[in-house]
Amino acid sequence: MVTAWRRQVAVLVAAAFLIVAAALQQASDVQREVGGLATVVETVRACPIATNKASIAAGQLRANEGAKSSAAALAAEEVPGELLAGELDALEAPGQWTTSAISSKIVDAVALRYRDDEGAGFVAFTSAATAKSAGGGRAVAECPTTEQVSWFVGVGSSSMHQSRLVLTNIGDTPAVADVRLWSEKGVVEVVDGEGIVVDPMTSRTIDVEDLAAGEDELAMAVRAQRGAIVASVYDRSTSVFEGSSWIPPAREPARKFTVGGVPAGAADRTLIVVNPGSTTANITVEVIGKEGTIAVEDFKTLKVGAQRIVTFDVPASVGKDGFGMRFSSDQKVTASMRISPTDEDYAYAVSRVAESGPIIVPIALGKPVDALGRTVILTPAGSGTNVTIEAFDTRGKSLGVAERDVPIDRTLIVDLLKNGLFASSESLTYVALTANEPLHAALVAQDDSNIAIVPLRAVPLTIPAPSVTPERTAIG
Amino acid sequence: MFDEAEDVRPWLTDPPSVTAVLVAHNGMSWLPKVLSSLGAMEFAPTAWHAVDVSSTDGSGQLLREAFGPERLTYAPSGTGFGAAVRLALAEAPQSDWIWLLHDDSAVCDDTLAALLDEATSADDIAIVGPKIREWPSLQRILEVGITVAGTGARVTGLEPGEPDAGQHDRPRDVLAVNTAGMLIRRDAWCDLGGFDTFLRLYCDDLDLCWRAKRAGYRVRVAPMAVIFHAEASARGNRPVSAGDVHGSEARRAAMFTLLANTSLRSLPWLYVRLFFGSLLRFLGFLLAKAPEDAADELYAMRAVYARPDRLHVARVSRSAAARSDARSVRPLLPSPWLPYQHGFDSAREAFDAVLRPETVESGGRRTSIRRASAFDAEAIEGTSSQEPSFLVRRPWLVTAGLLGLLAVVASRGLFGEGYLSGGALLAAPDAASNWWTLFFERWHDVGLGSDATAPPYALLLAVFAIPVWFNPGLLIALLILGAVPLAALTAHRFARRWCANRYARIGWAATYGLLVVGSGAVSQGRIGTVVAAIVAPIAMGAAIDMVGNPGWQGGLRTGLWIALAAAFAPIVFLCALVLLVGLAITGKRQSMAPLVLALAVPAVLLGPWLWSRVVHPSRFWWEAGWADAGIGDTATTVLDVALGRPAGPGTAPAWLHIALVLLGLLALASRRRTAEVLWCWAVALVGVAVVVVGHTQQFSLPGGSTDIAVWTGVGAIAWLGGLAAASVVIADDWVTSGHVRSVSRSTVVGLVALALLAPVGTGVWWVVRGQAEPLVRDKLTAVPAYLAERADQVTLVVDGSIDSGVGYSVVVEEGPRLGQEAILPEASEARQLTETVQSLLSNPSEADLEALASRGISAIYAPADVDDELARRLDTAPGLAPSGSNDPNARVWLVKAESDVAEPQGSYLRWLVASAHVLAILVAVALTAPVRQRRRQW
Repeated sequence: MVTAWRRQVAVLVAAAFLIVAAALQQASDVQREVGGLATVVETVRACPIATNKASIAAGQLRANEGAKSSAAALAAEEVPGELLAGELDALEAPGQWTTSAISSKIVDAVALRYRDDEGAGFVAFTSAATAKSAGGGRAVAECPTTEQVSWFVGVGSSSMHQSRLVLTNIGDTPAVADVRLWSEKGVVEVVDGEGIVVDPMTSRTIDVEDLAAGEDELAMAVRAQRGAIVASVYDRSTSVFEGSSWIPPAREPARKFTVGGVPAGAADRTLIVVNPGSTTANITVEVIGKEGTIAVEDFKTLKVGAQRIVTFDVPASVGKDGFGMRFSSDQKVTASMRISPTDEDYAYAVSRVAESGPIIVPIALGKPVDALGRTVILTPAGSGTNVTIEAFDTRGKSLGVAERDVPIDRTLIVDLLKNGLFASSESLTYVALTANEPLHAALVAQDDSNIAIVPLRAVPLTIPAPSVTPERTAIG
Repeated sequence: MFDEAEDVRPWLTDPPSVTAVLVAHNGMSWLPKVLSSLGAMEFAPTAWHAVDVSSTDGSGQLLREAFGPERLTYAPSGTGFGAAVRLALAEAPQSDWIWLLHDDSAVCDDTLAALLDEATSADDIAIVGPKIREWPSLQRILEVGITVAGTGARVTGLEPGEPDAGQHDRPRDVLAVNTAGMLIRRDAWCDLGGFDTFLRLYCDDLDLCWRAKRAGYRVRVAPMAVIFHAEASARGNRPVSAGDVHGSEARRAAMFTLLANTSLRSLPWLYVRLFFGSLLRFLGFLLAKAPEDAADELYAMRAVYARPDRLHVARVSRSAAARSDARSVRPLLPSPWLPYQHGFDSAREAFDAVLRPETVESGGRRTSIRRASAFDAEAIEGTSSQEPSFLVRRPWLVTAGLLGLLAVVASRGLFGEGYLSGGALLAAPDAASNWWTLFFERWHDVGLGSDATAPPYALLLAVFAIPVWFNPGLLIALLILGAVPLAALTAHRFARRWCANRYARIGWAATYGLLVVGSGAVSQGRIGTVVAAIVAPIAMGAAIDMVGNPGWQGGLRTGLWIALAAAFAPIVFLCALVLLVGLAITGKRQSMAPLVLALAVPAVLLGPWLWSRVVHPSRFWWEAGWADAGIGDTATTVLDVALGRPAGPGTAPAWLHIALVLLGLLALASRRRTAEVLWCWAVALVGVAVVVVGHTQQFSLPGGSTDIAVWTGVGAIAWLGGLAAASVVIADDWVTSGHVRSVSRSTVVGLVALALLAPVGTGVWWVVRGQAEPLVRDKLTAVPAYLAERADQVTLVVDGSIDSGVGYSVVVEEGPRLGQEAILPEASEARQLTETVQSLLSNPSEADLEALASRGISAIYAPADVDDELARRLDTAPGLAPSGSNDPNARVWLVKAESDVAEPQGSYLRWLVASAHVLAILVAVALTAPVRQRRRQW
């Protein structure tokens, strides 16, 4: 009897084990740890210099003890140490907003390195006034940092406009970049477009016509193959229209994106869309105006052939107010919009990734554009949002706060120099935007003749850090 | 007519006088027959004299009755053989020849006559010895003259257990003959001064004959003279009494004789060789569980090497008496390779004993001997068509050979150049010395560096890799690729304890061996599971012995085997704990202490390596090799669990095991041999418990991988092995009891077919799939060759992507080898490095590079198909210089910051702990020694 009991127990125990295994199976799914956010303690920006009447503005969201900054002038060859020494010294002032005029003819870029162990949020902008003989107009751009791939839409190498690519190596080892171009006829065979070498701490300027001559509209992708390379594209008119502009880097092709920062009063607005994919893209367009969505019957859907760049004139029925434009495509595309309010200058609004901030809007940009107005255009991304706008002086002292709601179907245009917006506008140097939902922001610096558009990005306080784990026992 | 003519003995015309000297000491067991044989000789000695060395068994009385008091001398206890002969000759009349006899050696009627035939054949012959046969077998030859090897071993030139068929019946010159039956010319005896009294019992014959040879005499063996020798002293059959020589005397005498008689030119080499050879023998005896012999070896060394003055005196006296060159002896000495040939023969016999235990039996002091079989008879008598096939005669040999052959076939692609690695298996080091170093070094220059305790399996591998010192990969290849036949061998040996039917036994052994490969342990390089599976049957056998015959040595032995298995797969310790507790509950009261000892031994021998697992129980899952085998998806279903199928590649289809589960359940339903079936089920339940618990768990390593899926191979093998054993127990019972005849034929056929499903199906699957993948044989590819070749340089290897996560490892030179994976870095060190790498890949700065350089890292390597964003971030890092790579899709960066790192040295305590660890293992092994008692013969 006892033995029989034992036999039954053996089977029951085995069965119980299996039941436990079945019950706990769900619990055995592996949960991987995701990476967090890392403080950006060091930022290096390359400010391209467009003309000999240029200026650089640099600052940080907050000043911390122990922050360090340095500036270095870069050109195709090594720049003599004494050149621009005073101008560069002026930029090496951590803890405050600085501007410095750069008047050299040989310097192609200025590299700014800012280190703050607590993370300051360093930004810099380059601005320039172009001589009439060279197209005229004003150009402002955020000084970029390294990107794996930088997209520029609206590049030209024809009698209409000419672009030049500025490649800056901010690292201490040689960098290598590849360039690809798309035209209205398809992918362009780029001459010597691969393996472009840039020596450490130098800058190299390449006229786009050397890569592909006679193209009215091009899209350019600059891929960093090796090294710390920063790409910028400067564009100036030749005959049809006048003016100049930095072409801001657009976001990488996507199925949904927004081109924000289209200012009011523009007479000539050309949408430039590139489809690098192998299938024709069917794109739906939604225009988000000041008062709501603008219905434009003949501009609702667009078609862009595979591996082609296509330009579309934005119809006048969109109105003259500022707006943002949302795109939805069945293929990955990216776009920019060339805006020419007058015959004297033009600028580019581009598709960018929506961010909630903080976003620094520069007011003090330097002499070339000091006289221009300062308007910020905000287009919400996925939902309506509330924006806090805080003004600061040179030393980061708050000058007042304003708040605005931005509904989902509206584009908000704020004149930052308007009296009464802040408690005090005296010595207004920069503005910080903070939204509770992601939005697209762009600064428009404009007067009756000139215009510059600067798509804005959140200051780099943190960066998504990869999940890093030791493999096995961390010994190979 | 011819026979009569040949029988004519010339010396009979003038018979020489012979004095026979019989020395006795507690030889009552043999003396009556000896005396009887002496009385039946056709030609008897002219004079007799006996010496009784203080016998206490009545030998003296018997001799007195046989020879009379006037021909008997009583010697005090402790009198050696040589001294006893001296006493006898002092009393005996003068004669031409002296014939020496033992109390355990019987003669034939013509022994003395045959000796005299040879002795009188030439004038320079001074010593003649007979052919000695074993008593009581009477057929096996023990000696036909002797010589001595350079190790001091007595060499007979005979095969172990060689029967006498007249093959050695040619008289010849030899170095020496045994004192049993030795006939020596009286004048030579006087000239040589008799035996050296410093050699009381052993080697006196070798020494005397060697001196005779140097003095210009010839020593001959006369095979036609036969004597039967019981070798009572050598075999320990003689009752012990006060004054008997110490056990170490045989070895001491051998060393002394060799050193005292060898030529001056050979002396330095021989002196050193014997010293170190004795040390090796000492260790060998310990490993062979012969501590008394080991102690004797040390005693003998002390006696010889601590008294060089005695040796000097002996050499001077021998040199003075020598009349011929030392080189004259050389032709009579054996080949210098002979000891190594004997070592090879011993190893072969040991292997034979494992492979075919049923064919091997003890052959007395000489060696094991192979039992005469039908096969042998066939070889001798010619072939017979009636003989059964080889498969029928040697089913296990055929099965083991077949498994070995299949293992070779299944290992296709895993032989040749490169290192065997993949899955959980790391490449073996380039020499066994690396394992020794790993175990003893104070600071491990592995990864981030550590002073952690080396894993005990590194020590075990170091020991077992000694024969393949310069290619320890052979040992790993043997274990991994030969896992199936090795596990089957130990399983078969274990099954002999509980399964009488050879076919059932063989079936279970083959099934068990194939379960190892079916679990995926081989393909996944799970060396821990493989070794545990090979050792487990031996450990269980030891446990059964311990329970059957409770004693501390049984407990120690069981504990040692458990420790060996647990060193490679710690989960074995927990399984053993459960089973031994079960034994304690159900077993005899006197088994309790051995059971506790069996558990305590692994706890002591495995030291901190096991203790750390008590503190961090999840690490019990971490076997030898990588904890994270990197085998991808490790999800298993409940069906997999029930059918004993672990996760990962290389596992046999689960349905192959259905039959085992069914048969196990059927066995449980049977009412036969219930206790054994229940114990098999107990093992199975422990196994399935391991599988179930492992199925629901993950574990992490400090400074290492997280969420590591548990490998449950050990549990799966125990689960299915236990079920298979339960069914084999019933099958064995059915066959041996005849119950099988009462079962219908179709039922029997069906059950056999069911039982064969697992082994046959797994075997076919095994051969078709092979054992490779993820196991491979390849070059080391942790880092590019030029990085690996930089001495003492450290490379940070990063893999993965910014979006999905990055893994990193720190590689010194060409990467870690087996054993080093267990060296865990300090958790804080690993955490800091993780933060540095995260910072480097997020927002690189010079500070990050300086932090890397401070840890000695001089390069960063991203293997092929490196993530673009990861590469870009490293490209932008200040202080990193891109460098060439072996693969265009891989990237290398060199750290510009100077690495000025002083390597820590670690504590001397680590070395002491390691030494104590080794000592503890040696002591434990030595304490299990009573398996072999002191070897009386050397």
